[in-house]
Amino acid sequence: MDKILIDSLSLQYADGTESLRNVSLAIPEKAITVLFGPAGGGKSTLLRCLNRLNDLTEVRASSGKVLIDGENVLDPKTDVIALRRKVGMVFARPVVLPMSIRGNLTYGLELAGETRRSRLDEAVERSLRLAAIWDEVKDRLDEPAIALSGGQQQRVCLARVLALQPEIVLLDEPTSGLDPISTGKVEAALQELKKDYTIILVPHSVQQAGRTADHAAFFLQGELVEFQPGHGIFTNPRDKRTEDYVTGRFG
Amino acid sequence: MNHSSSTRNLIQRIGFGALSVLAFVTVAPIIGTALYILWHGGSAISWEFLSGFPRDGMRAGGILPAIVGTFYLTVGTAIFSVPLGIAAAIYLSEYAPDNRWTRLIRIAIINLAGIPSVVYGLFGLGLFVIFLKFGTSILAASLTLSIMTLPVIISTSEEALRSVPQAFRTVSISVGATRWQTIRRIVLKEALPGILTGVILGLERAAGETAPILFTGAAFFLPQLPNSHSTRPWPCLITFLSSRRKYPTCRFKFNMAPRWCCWFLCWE
Repeated sequence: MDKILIDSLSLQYADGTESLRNVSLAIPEKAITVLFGPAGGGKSTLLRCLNRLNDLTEVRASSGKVLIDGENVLDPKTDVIALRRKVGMVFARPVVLPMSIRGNLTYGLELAGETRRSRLDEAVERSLRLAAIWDEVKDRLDEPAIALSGGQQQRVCLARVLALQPEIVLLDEPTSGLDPISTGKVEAALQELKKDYTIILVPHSVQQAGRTADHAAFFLQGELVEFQPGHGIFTNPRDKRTEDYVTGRFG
Repeated sequence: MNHSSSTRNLIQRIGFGALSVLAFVTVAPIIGTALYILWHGGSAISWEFLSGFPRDGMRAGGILPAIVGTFYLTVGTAIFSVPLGIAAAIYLSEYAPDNRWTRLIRIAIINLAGIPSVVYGLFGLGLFVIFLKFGTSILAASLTLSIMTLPVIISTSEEALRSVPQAFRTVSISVGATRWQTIRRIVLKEALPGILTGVILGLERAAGETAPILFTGAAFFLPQLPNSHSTRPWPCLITFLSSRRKYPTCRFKFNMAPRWCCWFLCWE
């Protein structure tokens, strides 16, 4: 079943950079959908449309619809706070907030009005376990999160998103700055998470796209070139440009 | 660039030596001045001097009214300028769009920080003392000093707020925080040390300023504490010190010279 339906979405930033041109895409639930392609292809822009983070940037023009569970989230009447709790996002560079590990995880819940200590503790443990970092930090939850290594910080960021029990998790090159071991841990965590969450991943390499994708879409200069359910796009690309990119002829 | 290691070592040492000398040259006069004052004036500081009232037309007695006056003045200035200054900085850094209008405001604020204090004094005299009929009082002096302090507090606070990484804001908003929640819980907390620096710098300038309060709030000689706090003139440490002349020595004239320069600049 499709969780997200993107219908002829176009967007251009005020400074004229990276934009989307007439993108239509259906993203299935409880699977990892990978959006890949060279830089400047509009992948991040698309992710930022799904949780309305583009509201923070000056957008010159946009049109089209993004339906999540049948509702157009681009509608100005959308409750963006509720939307962002439902659609979590992990960024390319791990950004832990300047507080303890526990504080990072409970931040969103406290903003949502949760004050019961037992619920918060429960959410901290559950989400850290899901992000495969519980064993590494369980004894130092009250230490500043900035003291962790980059790989650990990124998993704390993932856990921070999961603590809100979202339905969709967006990951924008989450492992681009990480070592192979940390990358492996994040990827393994994602394979577990897809049982319950709809995951959209912008990978930092074609190899990662191939490793993690249940479905994959290839973006080039703001256009969706090709989308195929399953692994077809890597083994049997229909478009010449996709084939060139996947086989490493450019990019 | 093929220095032998001994040449490089020598350059390193010369550099280090030069820096040490410069550091000493900077610090020595400060320590020297402090020691000189302590040496010659230390014996004059007594409990009677700090807690007494001036006598004999300020040739004898203590400086209590001046201490209390300075305290009220600084607190009054803080009450008016700190909340307003931080609020303005938050608006400029977090909410204001970047357009010609806000750039103009920023330039104006920076320029205001460089205006001679005597100009603020005359402005305060005109607005608060005469037009608003506050009279020569702590209230008028505090408001005048607040206007003088605001640009310093606004520009340093805005700088502190801007130095908080944008990524913190993005992350906070992406987990469902509103803009104000993000500012209150993340941005202000991170910027606090920088903001405090600005507040201290601003209030320090206010507490040590002479010209503005000469027109708006300072009394030259009061033999006792006034009974109404905010509406009467008060003596302040700084006017007290610059007028406390036991011997008309050359030191006194030297002390007054910059102030006379300001006067002339202002009137010309």
